[in-house]
Amino acid sequence: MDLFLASRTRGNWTVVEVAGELDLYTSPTLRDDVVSRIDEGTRHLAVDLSRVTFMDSSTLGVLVACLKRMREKGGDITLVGVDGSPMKVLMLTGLDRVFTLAPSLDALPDV
Amino acid sequence: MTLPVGAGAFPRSLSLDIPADATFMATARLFASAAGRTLRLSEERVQDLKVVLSEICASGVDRGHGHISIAVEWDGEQVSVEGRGAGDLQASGEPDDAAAHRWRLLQSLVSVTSCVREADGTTTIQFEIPR
Repeated sequence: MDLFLASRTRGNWTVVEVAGELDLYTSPTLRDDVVSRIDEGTRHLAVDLSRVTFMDSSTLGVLVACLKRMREKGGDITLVGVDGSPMKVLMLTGLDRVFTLAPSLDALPDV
Repeated sequence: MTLPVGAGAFPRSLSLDIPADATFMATARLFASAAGRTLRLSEERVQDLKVVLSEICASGVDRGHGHISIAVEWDGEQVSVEGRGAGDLQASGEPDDAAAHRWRLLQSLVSVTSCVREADGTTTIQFEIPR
């Protein structure tokens, strides 16, 4: 299944919208996109996963690496709309307590 | 996919052979969906099966094995998944690397359902079918 990525700004947030399935094959595309935004100076990044139907451990590795990179630069990554199997994967690995989670884009705080 | 002939209304075993190549990850998940629905697993268990098969394949790809064989069997009580060519799924390296997440994820899934056995690169993961 193809992975769809798009981005937009919402207030002071940069939102990366992801749709499709994230695995060993597709997650490097997300990593490259997020890393480039961090390196370009984005510090409030929301990754909208509400249309992601599958997520595996390689995706967790990508997300954690991006989060570390962002926090080293004083920013943060919020995962938005995680639900279903991807949320179960986050919870089983305890990473739901590591990431800032928001149920929807409307729930993002003002920054 | 191999479907045994004459196994009754539902096949007792399904198998898939794919190259250890990341481009085939989606194929493994399609197989998991087909197997899970054939065995009348709940949607949540189908999703678990997709995660397990995907992790088995990812492990095989990471470790550079040439070929991955997956067999899903049903004994009427439990679904048994066997992945050959997946290598040792035990985590190694940094606690936050993909292998560590993979191991933690499988351990957690299995603790929810059943058990993992590993020997000589063969991993067997069993799921109990919810009544």
